[in-house]
Amino acid sequence: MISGFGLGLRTDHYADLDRDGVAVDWLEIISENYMVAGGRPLDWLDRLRARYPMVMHGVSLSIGGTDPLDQAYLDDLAALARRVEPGWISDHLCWTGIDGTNLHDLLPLPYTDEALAHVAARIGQVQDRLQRPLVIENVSSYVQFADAGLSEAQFLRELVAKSGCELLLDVNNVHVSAFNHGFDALEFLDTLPVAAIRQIHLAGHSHMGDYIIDTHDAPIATEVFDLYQETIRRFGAVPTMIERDDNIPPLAELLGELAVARRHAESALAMRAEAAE
Amino acid sequence: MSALRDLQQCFARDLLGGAPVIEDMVEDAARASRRTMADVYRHAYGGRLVDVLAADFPVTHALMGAAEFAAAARAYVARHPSRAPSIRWLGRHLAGDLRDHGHAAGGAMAAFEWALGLAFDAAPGGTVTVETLAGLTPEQWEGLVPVFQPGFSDIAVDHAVHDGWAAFQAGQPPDAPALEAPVRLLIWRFDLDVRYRVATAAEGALLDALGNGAGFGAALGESTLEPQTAIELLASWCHSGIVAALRLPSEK
Repeated sequence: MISGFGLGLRTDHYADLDRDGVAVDWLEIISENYMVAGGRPLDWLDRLRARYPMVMHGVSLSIGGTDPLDQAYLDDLAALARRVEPGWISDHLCWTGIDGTNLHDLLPLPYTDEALAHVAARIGQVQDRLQRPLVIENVSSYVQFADAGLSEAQFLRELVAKSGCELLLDVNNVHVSAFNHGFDALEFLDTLPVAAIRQIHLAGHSHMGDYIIDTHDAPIATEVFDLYQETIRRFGAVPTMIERDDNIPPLAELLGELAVARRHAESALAMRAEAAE
Repeated sequence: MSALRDLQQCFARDLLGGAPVIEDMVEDAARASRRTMADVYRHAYGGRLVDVLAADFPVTHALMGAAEFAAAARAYVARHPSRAPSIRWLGRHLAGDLRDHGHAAGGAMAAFEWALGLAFDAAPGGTVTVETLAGLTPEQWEGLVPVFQPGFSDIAVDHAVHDGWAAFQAGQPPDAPALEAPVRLLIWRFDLDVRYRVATAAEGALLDALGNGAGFGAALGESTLEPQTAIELLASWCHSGIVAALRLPSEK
C-alpha cells in the first residue's frame, strides 16, 4: 500500500536511505536503472526494497511511438516487477524514438483522435502483458502541434476512459506546459478524472524568461507548490514525491522539501474538509 | 503510413540533424518563437547524449578533455544513433569509434571503462573452490572447460589505461601513455566488486588455447605451457573469482 510522501531513488542517497527512521514513506525507482542482470544496482535495490514500499517509473516504453512495442523491454519490465512487487508501474505520455532509433527524450504527441486511439490500444497491450493498470504521466512540452483537436487534459481524460489506465500527475509539468503554451493550469486540473489520479510528482525547473524547461535540477518553485496545493484540494491525499535528477543535494535537503510538500498537502486537505462541511 | 507516424518521422529527422521542419508542424508558443521552442528539443537531444557518455566514460572524458570528448561524442552519436531502449547501452561502440577516428588513447580507455561497466552489472556467477579442483579425476581434468564469470572481459590495450584509470581514482590526471607492446587486461566482478589486472604471458597463452571452448587437456596440447603451470593458473583464476564454474565432461 503506497501512501504519504516519497522520493525518487538516486544512487547518491543509497546509504543514507539504508537507515532506520528516515522520513520517507516510499520510493520511486527508474525502472531502466535496474533492468540489469546483477551487481551493485540490484543489491541496493533489494536492500532498500526491504525497507520501503516502491513504485516503478519508466522512461523508455514509448507508449505513443509508432514502432511496435519492444517485447524484450516489456519482458524485462515484467521481470523487474516480479522482483520489486511495486505499488504500480508508470511511464510517460510521449514517444521516444522511431524506426528503431531511440532519441532518449520524452517527445510530444499531437492530441488527435488518431493518436488517442493509437495510445489507448498500446496501453491495452501493456496492461495485458503486465496484468495491471498502467499509470501514465503528463510530460512537460515545448511545442504543441497544429490542428490537434483535443487539449492535453482532454486527451488524458479520454485516454483514461478508453484504456482504463491511471494517471501520474506531474504538477511541475502542468506548470511548465501551461506557461509555455499559455493554458490555464487550474482548468487543466479540473478536466482530469479525479478517481484516476494515482500519484503526484513534484520537481524543479529552469525559467528561461519566455519559456520554462523541465530540468529537475533545482528546488521546487513556489508557483509549483501553490499549484500542488490546488491539486490536493481537488484530488485529496494522493501519494506525492519529489523527482531530482541533477544537482542532487544531500538527502536532508530533499527531506526538507518533502516536509514543505507535507505542509502544503495538510493545508489543502484542511481546506477540502472545510469545503465539504 | 499514418499521420502520426509521418509526424514522428519528420520530427525525428529534424532532431537527428536533418532540415528544420518542426516549426512548420506546431503552433505559436505563448511567449517564445516556434524556433526557440523547437530548439529546446534539438539542443536537448545532442546535449543529453553527450552528458550520458561523459558520465559513463568519466576517465575517457578526463583523458581527452571536455571539448575534445564532446566533439568526439557528438560525432559518435551521429554515426551510431541509439538502438536500445535503455540509455545504458548508448556507449557500446564508443571505444571502436574513437580508435577509428584518431583518438587512440581515448579509444583504449573507453574500451577499458566499457569492460568495467559490463562487469559492474553482469549476472552473478558462482565460485569454484580449491577443494573442488582437488577432487577432480584425471579424466575430468582432461575434459573440463572453465566457465568465466558473466561480464568477464579479456581486452588488449596499447595504452596504459589501467594506470591512468587508477590515477584518476586517486584524484590524479589520468595519463595513459602508449605502451611499447600491448598488454592484456582481465576484468571481472567478484561478489559486488569489479576487479582488473594485467594478464601474464602464460595466462594469455592459456586463455587463447581455451578460447575455442576446448577442454583443458586439448588446450594444453595447443599451448606450450607445462601442465603444472596451467593447473596453477586455473587454480589462481578460481581463487580470484575469474572462473565461475567448471563444465565437466559428463555435463556436456
